[in-house]
Amino acid sequence: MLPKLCGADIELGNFTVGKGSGRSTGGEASRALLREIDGLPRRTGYYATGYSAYQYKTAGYDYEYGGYGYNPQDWGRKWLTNGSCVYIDLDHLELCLPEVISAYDHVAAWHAMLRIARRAQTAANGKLPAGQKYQVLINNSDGQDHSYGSHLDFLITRKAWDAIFQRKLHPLLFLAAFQASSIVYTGQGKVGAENGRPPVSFQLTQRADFMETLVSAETTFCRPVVNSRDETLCGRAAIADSASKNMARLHVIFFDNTLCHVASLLKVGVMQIILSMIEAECVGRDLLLDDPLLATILWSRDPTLQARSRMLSGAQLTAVELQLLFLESARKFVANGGCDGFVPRAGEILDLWEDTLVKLKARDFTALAPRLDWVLKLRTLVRAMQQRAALTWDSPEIKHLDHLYSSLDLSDGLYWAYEKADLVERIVSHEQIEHLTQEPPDDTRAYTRAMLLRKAGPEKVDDVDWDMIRLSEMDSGSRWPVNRTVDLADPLAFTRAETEKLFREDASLSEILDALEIPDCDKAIVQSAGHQTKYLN
Amino acid sequence: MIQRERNNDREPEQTQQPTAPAMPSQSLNNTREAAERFLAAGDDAINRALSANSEDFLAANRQAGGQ
Repeated sequence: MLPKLCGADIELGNFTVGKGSGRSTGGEASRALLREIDGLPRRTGYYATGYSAYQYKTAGYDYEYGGYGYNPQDWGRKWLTNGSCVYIDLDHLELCLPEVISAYDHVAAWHAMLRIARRAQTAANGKLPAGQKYQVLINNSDGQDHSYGSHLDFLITRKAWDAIFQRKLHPLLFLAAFQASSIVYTGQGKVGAENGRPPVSFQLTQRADFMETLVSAETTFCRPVVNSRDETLCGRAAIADSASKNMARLHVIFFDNTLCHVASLLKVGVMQIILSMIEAECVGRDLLLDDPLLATILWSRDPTLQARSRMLSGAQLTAVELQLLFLESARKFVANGGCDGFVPRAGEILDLWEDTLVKLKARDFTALAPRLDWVLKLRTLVRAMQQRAALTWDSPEIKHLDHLYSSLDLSDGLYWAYEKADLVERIVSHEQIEHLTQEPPDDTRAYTRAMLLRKAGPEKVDDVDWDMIRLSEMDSGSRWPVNRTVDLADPLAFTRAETEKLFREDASLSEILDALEIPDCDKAIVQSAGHQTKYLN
Repeated sequence: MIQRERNNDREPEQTQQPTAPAMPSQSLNNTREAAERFLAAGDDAINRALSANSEDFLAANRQAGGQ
């Protein structure tokens, strides 16, 4: 088994209000936002030419946004010194969180990235003419049949990955049943239906309308409940001793963006526990749904939480009842030490999960509003309609409020109004969030990546990916740069405890690389670094 | 802990406003007051949002499909 390290790659809704042109403004909005975020530019396309980044710089190419290379799903990627990165994916600003092990750190890192994006939004809006505004929504659909993802990434063993996708059916169905029923606490809530689904007033999740199959590797169409994209981001699998040999990344595209701390914590923390159970082959066959996709759609459309879906056993369960069965099984697993060393604070996560499910079963929505986004949003919308008799679920004003629930801007985001009034439950403090806007997590490779970027600076950083950094220094004895590649294949290594001592103030970059035992590459242009860059998240 | 129930398949019910289960009147009053205080905190934000032109906002919000 492996610690359930977690990352995330999250697209935001972005557009310009006040232009009145009638055309899509997502591209200009996302570029304006990205421009305001400090980070080390990452190039696309130069591998194909064999030219180094140094030559691109000296040749005067538009280095900031990728030279001539263009990939609409990975444009202008910048790496930040808090271990994260940002880029543009199909006209959406995408925030990629640094790798963390604790679900609590995930919540802090997520809100830290939102603060970084908000500061960019404020700066970008300051440059717009009066009457215009870059609007950013932390949601997953525009209400006009377009969806964008809030993806989570979990480290699992290669053996578990193979079991889920290549060898057995019940781990896949176990995972799908868990995810489908988890929408009772992971959904953000949405007004209406999209993607050709039948009309509905309100549903628990934004993504359910866009789930079209049980399993596939796709992310932009025919989206699956369980995504089978196999992309480890753990170095070259071809190297026999590579960390990636026994590692895999589970790419989860199912969930909504959540703002409530509790919902965000449970979304990651409970998933960590469930994945540990799958790794340990502790997969109860009585928890499998007959049709996880249909159950997702059915349960999403029932805010009363009474709809039942058929289990393989023939039983008919509500989503909350199924989640309680998962909880019961997870309790035994954790009590037997199943999560020890793999899921930090698993006991606390279990307690919060149980308390939330008990409240859901009792439909105690007053108690749940401070911790679950869909409940908070639904209550807000119902109140707005109660206070304005002319409004109905079909009113544009109600869909407007639906979107503004997740607005990033503190001045119009409904979630932030409740947070400001101290009415939503906090899992992490303001200080913990602010810390991660500047600093990387301590206990993953994100620490060393961030520290190397700081030490090298933009002139010496040639290329960056999650599992490598290539640095380039001019050799005093020749015209050519010396390239050195830092292999960060193992996401659980290169932690602060392991490498902090190397980054003392008076240490040179070469000394640090020597201490990390990074061999010189060569003194010629790196025709082929051998490293296959992985642009898609 | 959990008693499974076997019912016939049925279509999802129409959206309803979630309702709290029955409880003693004093407790119910306290809960209502708490809920009222909670929701009142969002009133200013709702009012601000609804002072803008919702149709213009929705028209501008057309996104590209993403992942």
